[in-house]
Amino acid sequence: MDIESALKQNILSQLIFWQFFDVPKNILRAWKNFLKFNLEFFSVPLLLKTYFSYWHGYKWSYGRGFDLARWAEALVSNLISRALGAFLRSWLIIFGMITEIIIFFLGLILFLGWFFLPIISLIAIFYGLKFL
Amino acid sequence: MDSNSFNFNLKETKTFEALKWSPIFETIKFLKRIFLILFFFSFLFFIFHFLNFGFSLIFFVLSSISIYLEKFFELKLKNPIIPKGFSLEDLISHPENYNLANFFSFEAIKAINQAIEFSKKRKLNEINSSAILYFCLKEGENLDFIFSRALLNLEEMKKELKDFIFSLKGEEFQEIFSKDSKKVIFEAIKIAQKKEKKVVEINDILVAQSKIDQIFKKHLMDVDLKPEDVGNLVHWQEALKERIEKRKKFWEWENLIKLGSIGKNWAAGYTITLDQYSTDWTEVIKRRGFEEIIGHKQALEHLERVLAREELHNALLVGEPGSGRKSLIHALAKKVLFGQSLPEINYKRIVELDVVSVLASSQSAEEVAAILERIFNEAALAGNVILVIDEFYNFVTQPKGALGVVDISGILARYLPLKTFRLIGITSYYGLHLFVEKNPAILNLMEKVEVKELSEEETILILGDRALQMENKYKKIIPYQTIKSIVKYSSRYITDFPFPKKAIDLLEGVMVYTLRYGKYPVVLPEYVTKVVSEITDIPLGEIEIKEREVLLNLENLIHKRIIDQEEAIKEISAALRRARSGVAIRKGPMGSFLFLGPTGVGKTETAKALAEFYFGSEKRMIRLDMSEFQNLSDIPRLIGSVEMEGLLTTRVKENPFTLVLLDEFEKAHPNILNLFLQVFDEGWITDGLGRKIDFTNTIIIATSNAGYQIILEALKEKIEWQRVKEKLLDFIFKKGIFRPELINRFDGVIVFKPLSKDDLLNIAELLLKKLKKLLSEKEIEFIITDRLKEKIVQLSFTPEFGARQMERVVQDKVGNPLAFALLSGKIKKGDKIEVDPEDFSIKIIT
Repeated sequence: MDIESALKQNILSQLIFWQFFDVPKNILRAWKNFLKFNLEFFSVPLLLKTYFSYWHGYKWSYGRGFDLARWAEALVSNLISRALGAFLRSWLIIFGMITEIIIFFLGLILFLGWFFLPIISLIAIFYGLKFL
Repeated sequence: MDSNSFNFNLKETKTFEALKWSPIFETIKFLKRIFLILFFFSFLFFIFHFLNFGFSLIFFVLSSISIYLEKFFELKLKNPIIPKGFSLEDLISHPENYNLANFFSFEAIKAINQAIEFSKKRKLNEINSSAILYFCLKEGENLDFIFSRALLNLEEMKKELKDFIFSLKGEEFQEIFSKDSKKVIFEAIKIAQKKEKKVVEINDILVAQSKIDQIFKKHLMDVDLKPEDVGNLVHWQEALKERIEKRKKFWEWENLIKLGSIGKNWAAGYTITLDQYSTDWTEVIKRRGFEEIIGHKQALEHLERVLAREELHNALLVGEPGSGRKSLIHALAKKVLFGQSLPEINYKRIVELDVVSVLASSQSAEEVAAILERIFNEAALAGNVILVIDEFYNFVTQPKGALGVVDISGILARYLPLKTFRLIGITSYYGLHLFVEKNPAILNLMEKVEVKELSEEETILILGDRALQMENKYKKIIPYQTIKSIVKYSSRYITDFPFPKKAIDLLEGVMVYTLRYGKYPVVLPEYVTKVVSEITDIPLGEIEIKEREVLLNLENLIHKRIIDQEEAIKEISAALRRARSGVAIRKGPMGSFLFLGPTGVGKTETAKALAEFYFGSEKRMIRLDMSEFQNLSDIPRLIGSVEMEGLLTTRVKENPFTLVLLDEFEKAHPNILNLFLQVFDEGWITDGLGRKIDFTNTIIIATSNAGYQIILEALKEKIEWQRVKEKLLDFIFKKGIFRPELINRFDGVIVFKPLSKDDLLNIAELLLKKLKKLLSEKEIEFIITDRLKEKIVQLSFTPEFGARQMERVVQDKVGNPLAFALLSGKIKKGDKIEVDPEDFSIKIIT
């Protein structure tokens, strides 16, 4: 907004601007930060990327030449390491997704709550008087 | 900016509107407290069934509404509206297009408005800048921080300002800003713009006033501060405030990310052996938190870039011990831990390997090799380790059979190229040149990242931070002046370590001194000189007081030792006074002179006299015979190399407060002379080990007898003295002895005259008087006769050597017989003696 048009605003229009534009914008930004941070905290993108990686780098060498028994042993061990990795990662991913959903709804409540704050206040006063 | 473009109409700003509304919002703030208390009690009564829920609900809503309105006032109304993309630079370049008042903060507008109202009430003809300052001091927040740290008395200054503005008289009020007020406003805008702020605040006005307001200036002078210092103090306070405020905003990404993350290392391997022999900096920082790093921003970014690369991703961190190499590693660990670095290295572990403990726990070289192999293997397999090895150069040399020496370069060379292996080696320049560079196999796999010494400004900021921590710990206040003198003195007199270490060490030393001897809860600036004097053995306080006296009196002082040479001494004194009083704009040494003239006329003696009067002793002199530096291959002997210490550089580094005497300057190789161009110009030189050697506290004197024949001839022909100098310089340039650019860089080229007979007689007297003084201690009176003086002059004077022989002749002809007579008991206490000039026998006069 330029200075000229801002100067024309009176205090009421400033209040409306603040209520319905300034603060919601900030809430949206904070909400986005929390959503993004939650995924980062549970390392969801990284875990998905390395979903089938060996668990803590445990892997068995297939060795030189071909020996079926040794090959099969290495294969099974490596598969177990990968499966274990995927299993444990799944848990963290699930946790991460659950909290993500919770944060989404909390943010939504806050956002809408702020938007309807004037009405909510009026209703609260109305009920307060009624209770008296 | 001229005054025609000055448009400061505060009444037409949104902020002024907010100012008008502020009494209402102040009332709301007060009501908020009452509503909150009422809500608390009504809720309590509701719980105990004394009241129904309606009251609680109504008070809750009312307090919420008042909080809401308070926030609306604080966050919206009070803040000036700044258009998107606008910067104060636009305001500075086109002030006529704007109402400047639109860009001032609420508090600043409030203070200026009060100044206007005050002027109106007192019917003043214009709005005085002191009135603005007075109301700024009244309105400003956190000014105590700035004033107490500057040892300024805020209340006293306010009182003085108040008295002054109440003494102002006028006939009719006009809303015109005085010339100084306009200056203050423009200056404040510039100051805010420099800090890349969007709004001008009271602090900026304060800094501007410190440059303009007379009362403020006087107070600053009393506490030995300059306007820049007020700027620094304000910067310090603002940085602190900003940090605290940033930390409060928990929803910001920067703060959230500090909570860390889990599962980042699930794909990474375990490092069991490495963990045994290492410190995991990532873990340490997670546990203890981390203070902000100041400076070294470029080096840190360079380090990150190197580590993030596909190829050549190992870094060699080169810097002097104490320049903050370890802090840089900590800063890296912090950024990497919080994922604020480059994606390739984010969330990796920074692990410092302790090679010495590997050595200590092993029985044989083979065992050491086996353990290291395992450690490097683990680090490479884990894939998330950035290995750090301190004192890296110690471990890449060939073992010479000595105990505890190990060469890990063979094993390391195989791992360094691996994509999953990253290493940071820490080394000093010395280690780099002496050891690492001799191992190109390793050096080629690493990129050098230089950690430069911090600047004085950065060190002041670091000390500011440290000072706050120390104040909490020791309950003593550390004023800004103390910090400033710590930086000043450690920069000048402490050369063992670079900034910031030497300054931090000194701060600790001064704090300990205060705890022991200090009478007040303040760490006084004078303690700094005391501690530095103790460390360096240089009588600092005295030197500073003495310097003034010495400078004013230099001619007389030198004449105590030097006979005649009026012009020369006058010129040296004038040049030194110019250089030291700050009249000359310069970066070079304290003074640099070229002494020209025949041998034995007092050139070296003058240098010695300067060393004695200026630095307290003749011994504070580094004397080099430049005829020893006739070949290019002599350069390393002068400025050092990995094999040897530099005769000049090392001595200046160890003893920076000294006189450097370069005898027979013309005999040095021209390229060696060129080295001095930079010393004279910039005041420093890079030595053979890449260290910056500071010459700003030295006086450099080069002597030469080049072209002395010209002087002799000129005197014979009785040419005017000024012309002699011109002729001599012409001769020197013509013969190519010195290049003009070298001569021009000296503060003064001083020509010494050959000595006349009278001078020689005086010198003989000076020397004989020395003997007389010694004898008088034994209560023997030595009478100096004119004939004796003449004989000595006759025996010792040669046109080529001047008076050089005289000291020897006095020793031989007078000193020796005297010694003999004393030992043999020929002369006794109470005797009065004379020396016969013919055969130098000793006569006792009764």
